[in-house]
Amino acid sequence: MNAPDAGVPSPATMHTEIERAIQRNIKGLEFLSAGPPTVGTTPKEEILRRGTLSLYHYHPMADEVYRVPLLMVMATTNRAYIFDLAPGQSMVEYLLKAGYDVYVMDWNPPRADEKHLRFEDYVLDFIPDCVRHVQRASGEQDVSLLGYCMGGVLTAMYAATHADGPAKNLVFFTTPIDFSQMKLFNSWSDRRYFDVDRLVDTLGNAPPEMLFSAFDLLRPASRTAGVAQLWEKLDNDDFVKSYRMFDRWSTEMLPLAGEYFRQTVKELMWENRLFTNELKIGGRRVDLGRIDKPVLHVVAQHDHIVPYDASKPLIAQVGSTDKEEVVLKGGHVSVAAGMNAVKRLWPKLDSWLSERST
Amino acid sequence: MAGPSSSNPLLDPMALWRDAVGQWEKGINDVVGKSLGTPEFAQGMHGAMGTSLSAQKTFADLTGRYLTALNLPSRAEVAALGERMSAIEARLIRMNTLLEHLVDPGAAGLATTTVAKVPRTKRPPSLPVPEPVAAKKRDKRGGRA
Repeated sequence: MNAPDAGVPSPATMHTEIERAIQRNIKGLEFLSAGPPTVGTTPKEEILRRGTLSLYHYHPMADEVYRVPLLMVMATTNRAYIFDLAPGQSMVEYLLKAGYDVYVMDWNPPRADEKHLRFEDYVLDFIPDCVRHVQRASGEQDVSLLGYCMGGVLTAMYAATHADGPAKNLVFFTTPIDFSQMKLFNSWSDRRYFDVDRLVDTLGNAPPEMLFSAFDLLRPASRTAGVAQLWEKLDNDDFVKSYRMFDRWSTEMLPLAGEYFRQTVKELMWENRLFTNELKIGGRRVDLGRIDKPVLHVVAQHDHIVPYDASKPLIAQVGSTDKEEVVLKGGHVSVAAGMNAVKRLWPKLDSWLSERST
Repeated sequence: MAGPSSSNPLLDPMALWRDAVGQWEKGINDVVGKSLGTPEFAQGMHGAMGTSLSAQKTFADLTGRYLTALNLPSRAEVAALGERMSAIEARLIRMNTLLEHLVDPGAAGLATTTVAKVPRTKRPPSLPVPEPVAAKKRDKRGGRA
């Protein structure tokens, strides 16, 4: 057999590519006809439901668990199944198997009559109520909290306003503190042009379609490029399964309660009051310097939603002496799920949390 | 996937596709991203949103009058009913909490979980097993209990 000429695909390569092309067409039909992927299958029980709030307790998967339970606070824009995509790709499953007692605060779409919900409701009512339920269910006073994105912002607000509270450890994932560094969001919410009062007063809750468009516009070509990448890898079942789960999660956005959205825009985007420690919630000043519990902050190097410069000040501003920042390669979602999370972050999280959970 | 074909794009037809898509994505994100960050874009976007909100408000007002004429509740009125239902629900939860507290004062009036209890005795691999000697060592170095 002659050696292949440089630059000319060999017959074997051609054969493989033809096979892949056929497989792509077959799998493409399957993809188009398939229903939504199943997600969030780890056994759990809803132990509290209050309108937009659901608190889940996951069934333990270890013979013994660490003394301190873990309460995860999801971002208010998306569903919490990003923590529990599928067996083998589930942070919840990983933590359960590692011996943690895991609880998750998830959000249902706020109803029209929940448009009045404010930071005060989330920080001074929902989180403390969930903490009480976790204490009751676990029989422990100490609780570790983990907040993702805006869930991290709420967790930070809670920890700062309950400095003597039951929080034992605080873990933050990609949590924005300096909102002036969220460049595009800042530009789009420019107070000269954005009449947030009119939007909230007219619509009640901030519609998910608007929020989805804003997130999508941060990288306007990436969704289309993702579809092109999907087409190339349609013959790869694992890739397609993973793509469908992530796509379902990213497109299934939640509306935001109107007053909460108004506060986010005015207090955080316009005035940057969380960063300047001037934010007041229910009359209490949110001073991040009052947080003195052990803190782990996980940030993503290529996060286009919460840029590193926006999340970086957290570690500098908390008053804790036991604090650590972990910078991972990857984007905003890669800290919660994906290979980087599975191989690097979750073991690191286990290592950090286990020593502080006895 | 590493292999002979991946080192030479000409031997891997799909590598050319991947490169092209990657470059297109980066180019569009860079170029369009700059335009999206300008005040002109924000002004235009919110101008369009303002028009849309005005249209929605006008439509809602007209629909409200139409529903009133038909003696039917508007969306706002149904939402108001929902709000009152929520207030009643919240009051019921508080009453339930108080009742549970009366039955079992130590329970703090919170619902229990049926998830199986497991011993909360796990210790991290890096820490010694909880024997008296080991515990003393941890105390000495100020370990977290």
